[in-house]
Amino acid sequence: MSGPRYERTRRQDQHLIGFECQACGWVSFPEEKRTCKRCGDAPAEMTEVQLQERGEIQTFVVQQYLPDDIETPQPVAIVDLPQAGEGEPARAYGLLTETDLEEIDVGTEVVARFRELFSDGERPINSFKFSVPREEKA
Amino acid sequence: MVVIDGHGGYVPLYRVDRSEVAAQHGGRGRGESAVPARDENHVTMACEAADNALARSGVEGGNLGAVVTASVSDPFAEHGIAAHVAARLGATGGVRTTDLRGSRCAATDALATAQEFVAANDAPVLVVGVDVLPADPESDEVAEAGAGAGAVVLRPEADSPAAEFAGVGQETTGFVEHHRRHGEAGETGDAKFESRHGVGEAAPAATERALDGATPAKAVAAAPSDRLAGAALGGVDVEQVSTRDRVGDAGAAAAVLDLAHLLETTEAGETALVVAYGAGGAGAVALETAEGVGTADAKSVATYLDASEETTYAKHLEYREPVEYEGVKTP
Repeated sequence: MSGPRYERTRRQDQHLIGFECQACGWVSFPEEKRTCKRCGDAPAEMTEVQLQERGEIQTFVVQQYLPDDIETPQPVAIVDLPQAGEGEPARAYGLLTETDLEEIDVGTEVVARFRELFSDGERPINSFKFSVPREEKA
Repeated sequence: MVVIDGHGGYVPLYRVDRSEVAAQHGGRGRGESAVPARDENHVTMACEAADNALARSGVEGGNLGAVVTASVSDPFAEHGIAAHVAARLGATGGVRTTDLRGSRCAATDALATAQEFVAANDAPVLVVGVDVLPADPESDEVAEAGAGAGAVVLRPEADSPAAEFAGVGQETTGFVEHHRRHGEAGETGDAKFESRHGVGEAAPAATERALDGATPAKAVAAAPSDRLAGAALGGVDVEQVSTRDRVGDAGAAAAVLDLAHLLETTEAGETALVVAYGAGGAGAVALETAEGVGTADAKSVATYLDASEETTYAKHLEYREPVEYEGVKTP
């Protein structure tokens, strides 16, 4: 498993696994919180839940001024990813890739894509970004 | 019996029109070549193809017995692809992972290795071919440098497989004309000499062993050039299925990507042939297609070919460079 030393064993970097607070139902992704961000339960009892790969943009911002090595404009979105089963969606933060600005709005369906997030030296670190579904480009 | 139960491909979104490359560089200018996005690499592309193949099979990633990858362009000497694909799919623990490389025959070697593993262990195996060929502006091959991935799931049996293995052939000659160092463009030699002593000696022998008298209706071929791919099928009267005009040179991955495309577009009950010619010889696999062919349950190669965006020659070169900084500061 590739990844930076400090979080190489985090399964949720490569799998759409969320953590559901058993006190209030709030779902954390990708972090597994020790204190529930919504109800404050501590130490929170978090249960792993499987997330779907398709979700909906809740809001987004477009970054225009970034270091030279990053292509701009770079949209960043808050995406609600439903659970595979019952329960609340996870609210995920992620970069958008392969997506033009005119293709996105609040409510746009996006799909989680396994992509190179950054590199640790020469080593690629892969995790999730979001994009509009590929078939919509046809 | 070993069957293919699940097939899928992946082609990056971006394409460079080869005529744009020819306008700046000279050389051939027909067709287009796939350009990986800056945040794509061998592992991410392999996972996309694997996801499609697994979606069409009845196999969960965690139930795979082995993951075998084939690539002639893995940039790492030590890092690998197969174990990372396996981990992403949840295939960890007692799972065999194998990275095959060094020749385009890696594709047929991967299929043969997987077939033997399935037969010996009665467990499903994922085969993935993935390549991103380097684009060197000093090379005549710059316009054709492509990228893509293909995947198939092999099982001992399935309710509705896409194909059944009918034969595997190999011809090791040790002959090498086209060769390439890591990250550099390939070097080709005398085309006539290679046609006669390279592909001309290796491919027919491997094909004959795989077919064992059968007559194929369709075939795919991976080779260092379009001409050599055609020559690899030279002795067989067969319809060639190829994405090369839309994808470019996809290395060893071309054999598996084109096989996925073939299985998506062919009819059941046909003999299909996979040939890979490269450094050291040739490999061939004969298949009998079955009712599981088609495009159900996953994105098709045709969808990837149609859903594309044109990019520039500059991006064609730039996007193949390693990402040094992408959103988060590196330690």
